[in-house]
Amino acid sequence: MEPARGGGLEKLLRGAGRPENLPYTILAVLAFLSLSARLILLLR
Amino acid sequence: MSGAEPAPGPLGRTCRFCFWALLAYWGAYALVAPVTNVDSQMYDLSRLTVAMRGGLFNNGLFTSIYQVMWPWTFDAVHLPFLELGWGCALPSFLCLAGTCYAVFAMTRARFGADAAWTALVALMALPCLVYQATSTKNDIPVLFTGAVWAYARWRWRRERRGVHVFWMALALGFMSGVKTTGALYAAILGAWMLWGLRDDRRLALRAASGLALAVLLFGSIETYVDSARVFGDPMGPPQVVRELRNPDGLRGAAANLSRYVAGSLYAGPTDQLWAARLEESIVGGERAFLARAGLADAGYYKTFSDRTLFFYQSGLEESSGFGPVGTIAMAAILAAGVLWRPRAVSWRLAAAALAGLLLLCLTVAYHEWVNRYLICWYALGSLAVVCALWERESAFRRALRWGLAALAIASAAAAPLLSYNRGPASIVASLRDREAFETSAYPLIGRLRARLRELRAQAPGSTVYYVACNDSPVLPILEDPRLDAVVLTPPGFTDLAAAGLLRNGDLVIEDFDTRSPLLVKVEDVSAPAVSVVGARTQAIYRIGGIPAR
Repeated sequence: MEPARGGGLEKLLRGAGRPENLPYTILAVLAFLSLSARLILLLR
Repeated sequence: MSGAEPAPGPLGRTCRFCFWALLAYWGAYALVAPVTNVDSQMYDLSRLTVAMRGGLFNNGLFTSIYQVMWPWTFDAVHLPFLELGWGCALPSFLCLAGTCYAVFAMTRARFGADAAWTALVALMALPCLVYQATSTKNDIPVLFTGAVWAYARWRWRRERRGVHVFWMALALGFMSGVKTTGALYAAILGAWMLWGLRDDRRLALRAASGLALAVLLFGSIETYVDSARVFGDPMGPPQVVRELRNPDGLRGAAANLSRYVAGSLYAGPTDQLWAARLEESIVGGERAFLARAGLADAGYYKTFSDRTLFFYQSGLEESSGFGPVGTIAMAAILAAGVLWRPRAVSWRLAAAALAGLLLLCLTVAYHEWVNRYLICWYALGSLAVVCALWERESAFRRALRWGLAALAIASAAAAPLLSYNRGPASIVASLRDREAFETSAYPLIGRLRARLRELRAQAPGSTVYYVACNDSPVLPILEDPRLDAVVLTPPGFTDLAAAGLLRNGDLVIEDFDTRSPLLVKVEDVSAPAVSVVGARTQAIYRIGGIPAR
């Protein structure tokens, strides 16, 4: 498991694409969807 | 799910094939299925539609106290899917996929590929778990965030990289906001995490700060604030909260544990007469045991008692059991209470499941829909069984592994086939007859919707009012552009009538008897029983008798 190299976004995407990070990627997606949806609903 | 580790043997390969086939099937179902879950139609997801119309705070459109009082971090995830009209079960399915990966990685590292693939099939063999993983309820994310927490902790112990502590904190923050019991488990796991980091105070402090921030962002603080404003209590109306808690302390906990254990016994699919009779005899035995032990009716939610007790081993998402693998898992969980094997991974998993089960028995009132609260503990119990079979090598254990795998594969394959709305025909129905399938768990609301459309087409310009009560499945009506219905509470309807805003010819359905003299019955609409809550008749009214101005 080598550390990902490259810029911030590239590093993030590479990290998210690694199979061993799948649970983290899914959690990040759910967290992003939740936060953005709740913000939308709170600001209505 | 592959790597440099040794390739799986025949057992692992068989389980691997079955797992991928099952995952593909459930993935396809999650992609196309509409929102069929009645709770989601009543409050979990319907509140998103209501909040889209009027926001969260000071919104007079909410139709159920549950829309206001329950945490909504996971429910909110469904908003884009609800707007799109497709893939509403995908977030739950992603939770299943993420859980499977975490389980696979940890099991393979400890016991090898055969054990890892068998563990995954054992998870897929728990009907209630896979039904929840293809639904829109908020129980599977508790399992998923728990799995992410355990996985991140496992990786932290192996790699010592601080990023894994970040993921532990995020998992707990998310867990705290998905449902009220999730907040309880998150508090326990958070304390455990910080205790584990006590040797590195700097890191522990950063972890505590991260956890606090995660709870602030994902703990659904806003619903507690709104609940405090509306009900004067952040947890919800005190009377309702009291009813949802186990009212009888240790006595209630003992009775609940006994019911959960009896409910874990698999006697075949309850839809079959022979199995239903066997199930009835289990219920009778349990009832007699509770009466003899002086625990009759202890620990119940208000409207239930031992007289109404039933155990379902069927395809009902709301109350399904955990199948034959669940029976074995429960045996392993109970064994952890009488055997002391703290060095064995299997024992630790089973002991954690037992602790969680006891906590649930003590805190939550019993009713048959609580089964979904048990998915974490059954999952841990199933994994404990798999680990126990791989902890030592012997010819007998190798035979048992094949036996467990065969049972798990058969159960996992049967889970969709035994369900009234999860089989292959349901995938076809999701595409061809989507609207009927959407209301398959509550057919009455589907028939009402269809009839209201016809009646409204006969009187263009009329308004459809749905006077909803706490348990009204409002989502199918709210989301229908052809009805453009006004959904409101009984006081809202009374206010509307008093303000003179109703017109002759407007259509009304009501789940709460408003006793309005303006209502003239048009017809009764009935639907057959499918689920335990499905058999009802409801009237459609027209507004009449308002004098012309």
